[in-house]
Amino acid sequence: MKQVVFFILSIISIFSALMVISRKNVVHSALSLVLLFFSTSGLFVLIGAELVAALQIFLYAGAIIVIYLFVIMMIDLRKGTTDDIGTMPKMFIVGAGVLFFAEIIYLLSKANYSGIKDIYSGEKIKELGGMTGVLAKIMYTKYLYPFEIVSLILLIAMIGAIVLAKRADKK
Amino acid sequence: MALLLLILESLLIFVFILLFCVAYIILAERKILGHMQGRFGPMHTGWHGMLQPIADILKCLIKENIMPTAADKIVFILAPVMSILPAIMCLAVIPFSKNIYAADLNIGVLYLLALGSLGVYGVATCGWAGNSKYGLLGSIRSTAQLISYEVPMGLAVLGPVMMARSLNLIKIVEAQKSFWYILIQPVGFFIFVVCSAAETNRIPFDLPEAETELVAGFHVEYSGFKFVAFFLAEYMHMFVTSAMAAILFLGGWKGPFFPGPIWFMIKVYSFLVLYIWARGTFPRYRYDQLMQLGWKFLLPLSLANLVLTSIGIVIFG
Repeated sequence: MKQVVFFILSIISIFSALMVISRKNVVHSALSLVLLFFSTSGLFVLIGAELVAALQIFLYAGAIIVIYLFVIMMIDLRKGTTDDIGTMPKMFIVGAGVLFFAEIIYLLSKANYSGIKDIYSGEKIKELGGMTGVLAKIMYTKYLYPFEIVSLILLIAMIGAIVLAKRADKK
Repeated sequence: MALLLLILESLLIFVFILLFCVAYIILAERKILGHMQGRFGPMHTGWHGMLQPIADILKCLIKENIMPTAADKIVFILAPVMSILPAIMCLAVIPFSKNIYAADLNIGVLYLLALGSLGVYGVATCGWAGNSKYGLLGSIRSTAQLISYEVPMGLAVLGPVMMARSLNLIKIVEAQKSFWYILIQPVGFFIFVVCSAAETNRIPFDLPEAETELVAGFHVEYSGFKFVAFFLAEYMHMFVTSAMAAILFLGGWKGPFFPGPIWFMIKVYSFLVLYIWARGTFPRYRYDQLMQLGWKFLLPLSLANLVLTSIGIVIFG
């Protein structure tokens, strides 16, 4: 049963990922990306990570892609399609994609899973009272420092956006 | 067998809510609004118009389905589906009583918030797909509005979650055994009420479909069954947010004398009447007022509420 669901979800993921990069119409790409987030969050549910699945939908599908869509609708891309992008930017995009993919493969091959497996197995997490509590506890004790740095970076990005918007307003 | 029973049970709950509650919220709205304005509302179909919602839906089903020639066909057809699907999916985790629910998720609140934020896709894409100015304006307004009000709503919901120390809806209700959370979270409840009115596009925040400016707003190009889908989605969304208010702030199914589901429905419906009352009372906000209210008043207020709640929990909890 689990395997069948896994295969269905994987096929949907791959199909929608291909749709994202092959559609000429940007709105169709964005909507395919939403489908991709849904199917991957289904995969997360399958391995028992329901919190990650919910966050995936809440943050990516519910917030980020909505803003993409908002921008796309505002600038009216009905006429302009991906054909209008020149060769040089396209080469750069492909290069960046290949580099990123190679990096992921390299990191996955080097990753050490045994440490995580022993401390936080599925049964252990259930025993401790579910994924949310466990994650919160680690995040606010062991990884507090990186967590605070991330929030500081986000704050800087926010202030930067406000400053840029203000300057445009005065002219 | 257990799975079959579960599916049957969920189907029953779903049909009950869809056909009964949602359809009769529409009738209740028309009747209550009518009486507020010194008229009767629908009177002719059945006793005091009791069969009116069924007649309305049947009428819309047999109407012609118009597709604008310049529309993006796939997205145009998908938009009503995208708008009604999250609303239906939300019903899966709503506990009507201790035992009546389709799914008992550990992250119930997060699930509701996540799916609630997806409703914007139907609204955003349908105005764009119809290739109409009014529709697009309605969509853009709606997207901005939904994004702005999602933030304070999520923060307001966190108050009860922190006090119950769980994201599980059933555990949150159980934690309100001795007192309802509205008593210690009145500010949170107020923010939740305002934001949920904005999230469901209700007056005084119904700018996406402001009839006087945008004809009918985002679904202006839709007719027949697709229009019904949008209509039902809006009312189902209202039902879900009312249920959330009942669970998070009003003690869910808890109450004396009556069995759980009846108390739950009483709470949900009194919240729905509040929506209708607001529609009969308040004028529509202007767009900049809406944004100011969201970002400059509700967001700081909800943040302050969150900080105070955490301090209170540390001191008294």
